[in-house]
Amino acid sequence: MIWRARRRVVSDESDSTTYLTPEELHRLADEDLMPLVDRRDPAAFEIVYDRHGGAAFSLAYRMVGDRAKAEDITQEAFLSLWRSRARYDRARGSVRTWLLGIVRNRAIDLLRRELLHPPQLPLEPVESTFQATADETGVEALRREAARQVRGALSVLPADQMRVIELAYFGGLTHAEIAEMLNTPLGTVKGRMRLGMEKIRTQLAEEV
Amino acid sequence: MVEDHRHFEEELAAYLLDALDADEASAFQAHLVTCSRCRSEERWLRTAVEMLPSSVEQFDPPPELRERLMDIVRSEAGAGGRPRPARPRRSMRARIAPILRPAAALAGAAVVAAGVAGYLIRGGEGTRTTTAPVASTRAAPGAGGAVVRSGKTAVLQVRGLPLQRSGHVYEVWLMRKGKTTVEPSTLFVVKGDGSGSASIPGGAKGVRQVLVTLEPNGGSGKPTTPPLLRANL
Repeated sequence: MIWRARRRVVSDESDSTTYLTPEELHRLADEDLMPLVDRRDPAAFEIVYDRHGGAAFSLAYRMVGDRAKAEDITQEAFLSLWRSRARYDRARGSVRTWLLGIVRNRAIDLLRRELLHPPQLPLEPVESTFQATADETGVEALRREAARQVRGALSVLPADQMRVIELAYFGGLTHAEIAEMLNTPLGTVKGRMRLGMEKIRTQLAEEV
Repeated sequence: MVEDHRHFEEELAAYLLDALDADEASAFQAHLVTCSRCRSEERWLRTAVEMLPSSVEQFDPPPELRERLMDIVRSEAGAGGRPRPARPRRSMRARIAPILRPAAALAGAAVVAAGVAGYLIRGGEGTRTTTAPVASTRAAPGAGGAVVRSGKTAVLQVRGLPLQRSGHVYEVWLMRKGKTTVEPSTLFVVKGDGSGSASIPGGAKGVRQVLVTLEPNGGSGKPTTPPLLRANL
């Protein structure tokens, strides 16, 4: 009985009820945790948060440049996941991509609502305030290493290509708004976006 | 048809970056249905777009955020899943308000540091009050003020500082005796006339210097700009 009490129901079909220990829950892929989150399992939600809360907060901070607002955005995104207001569809990609998409949309809403200008890179002067260093966990270390690798891929881009990609993705601006802001022809902006994204993709393919 | 494809091919990256307006995005999606070449390129390039959020500098969210979320989640799970409104996070201004409030009260009682000192004397019931002048630096010529200490209380009063830029606040730093590095103390903003004040949490015991810099909203862990004001205590 004790054993059963410690386990969580993963499937409640009458004859095939399966229970998972916390350790087993931790071994589940995100996509397999989501049905449990839908069934209001706080432990499953906690694992999803622990896996992706840092990336969500970091993206929000990068976009709005304000720690309190980044917290608000992260909280709203995870609560919408918990309350099933945002439905995850496995066919449309990973949980991480889906979740970061919610974060990005909410950050863009805020940027537009408050008419904030997107923060300019680099934000490095602030990072030491709350970036983990010596005592980071294995997951955090991997996350940071992955970020370093992607930044390496981005570093090959000429500044003008990087800039239009940043303004579009992190600033939520349309290509027409970017063209106006940079006083650059629309065709040039589109071309820079295209060339930049192709270079990033090629670089990532080479690294893999 | 080829011309049509070329037009959409040029917009592929903008589409993936969400940089098309609504009409353009709808037209692009309609084209994708009929163009296998664009679909193939879209799949290939999408991977690069999906990596963009991972390129940002990675920070650890504050532990309170996790606690707050889990409190809500456990409560809603226990209440049969009925959602309750999330506890609204306080804005940065609201967060620094408790810090500013006593200082604002002091500022209301008197406009100059001497007035602040008088308030502290009255409220301190015999506690000795000392005032240390705040000197301007080359970065903010003409600015000044005072650090008024009374018992365990210390208040920084400033004047003549430029209005903080959008997205920025002033941050107070303390250099303790025997140290050569500063530690972050508190945040404040100035009014249109360049005046402002901030109470220093924990007072200024053991502090030999108080400095002020301009920092991004939320403050910094280390100064990122040169000091604008400096007070030797």
